[in-house]
Amino acid sequence: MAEFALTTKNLNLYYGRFQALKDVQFSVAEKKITSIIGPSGCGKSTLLRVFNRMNDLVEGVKITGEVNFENRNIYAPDTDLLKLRKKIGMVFQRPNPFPISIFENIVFGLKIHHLYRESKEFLYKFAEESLKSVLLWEDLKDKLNHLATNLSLEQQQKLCIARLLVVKPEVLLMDEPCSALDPISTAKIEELMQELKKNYTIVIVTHNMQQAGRVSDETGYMLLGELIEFGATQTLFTAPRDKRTEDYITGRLG
Amino acid sequence: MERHFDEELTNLKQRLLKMADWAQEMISLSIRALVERNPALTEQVFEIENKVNHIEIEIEEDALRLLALRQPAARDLRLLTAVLKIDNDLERVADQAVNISETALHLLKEPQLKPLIDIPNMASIAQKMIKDSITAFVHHDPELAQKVCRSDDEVDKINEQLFRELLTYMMEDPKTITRAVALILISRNLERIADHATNVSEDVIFIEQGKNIKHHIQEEPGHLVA
Repeated sequence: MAEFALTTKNLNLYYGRFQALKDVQFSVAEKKITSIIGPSGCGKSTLLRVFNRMNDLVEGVKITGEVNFENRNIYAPDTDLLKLRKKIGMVFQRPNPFPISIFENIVFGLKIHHLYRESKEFLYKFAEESLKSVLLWEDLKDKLNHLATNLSLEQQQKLCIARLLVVKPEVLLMDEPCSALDPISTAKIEELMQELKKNYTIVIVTHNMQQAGRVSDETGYMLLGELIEFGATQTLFTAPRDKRTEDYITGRLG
Repeated sequence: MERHFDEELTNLKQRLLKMADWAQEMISLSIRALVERNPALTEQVFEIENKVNHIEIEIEEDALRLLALRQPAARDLRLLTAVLKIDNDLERVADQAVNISETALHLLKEPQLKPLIDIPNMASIAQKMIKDSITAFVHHDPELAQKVCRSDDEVDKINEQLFRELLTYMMEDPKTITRAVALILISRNLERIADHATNVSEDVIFIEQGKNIKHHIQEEPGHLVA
């Protein structure tokens, strides 16, 4: 039995009167890639955002049930959100580096988590390590003072991942991380995900079913706020149990 | 929702159906050539084989094209991979029918060794197995496919019994050896045809139910799902 990094129990989420998640039981295995697929508006991004409480910022949101991480319900009132989001980081659809230098982007996380008191050499070493772990070091080592927003989209996305890794997270949440990228850049990010899987747990939301098939170990299919089917990616794409999953992945939905 | 893809899959299925018809006709003609002692019938077998060989390649190319371009999943994926295998099995059935015809041509140069009862019987079971396995494929009928798998035991039994019988002929009179061996070969060709029909049926069960029943693999731990 795999160890789970995250599990949800009877999770319901409402935006005002609209119920976006319906009694979801979801589990994310440690150091695996778990993907969530489903048509637009099915609640997959909402579910992803539940994992580091990003939905808290939405007005009128109400959440019932549990989301357990490190043996605690992250929706318990005494949860330290800063700590939570340090351990569970998010990568977005459009790369969002800050309009400052590459170097400053990478060490930004250290600053807000008050780890910035170290020497310049130490920080430089840190930047080198994180850029190496996202396979960017060779390309960028001589450009650390350049503006991050001038990088290619693929490099920007990798930089955003590097920026997360600096604060030593456990889980990386990725919301359509390749949808702004061309196929070659997409392939490179997917390769990077396989590397990252050795040390991190990854949850990815994707519209691209082939991508879910290529990168993930487990896949969940969501429809209208329900988790319809969840299991090994291979099973889901070769012999799904639920007719609704079958209809979606074979393009018969609707 | 009806997809354009469905039309292409239907087209592939229809060609497999045609191929199966040809394969059955080849079996029937080969056995008739033998039983009716009419070598002319084998010529038709060789003609049809040509057509089978062509359609085999066509189906393979189309299935590969759809795999590459449509990137099918779930049932579509199981269907297309099974089509490739069924295509191959039917081509092998046609080859076995050709072997029967070739052996028959040799046999017909000599007087009949014994009245032929078991071989036509086996041939009709094997033919029906091909027919049923393809019907199961077209009509999405895993139960019929299961039935085909069970018929295979019957053919195996006749094959074994015929082998024993022909062995006694050869022991009693060595002059019968050439003809008896020829009949053993034909019996084995028919037994192989039944095996191919069984393969097709197992593929049908895989398409319909997503489970692999080959070699009772489902009963082993670690093979719960396809």
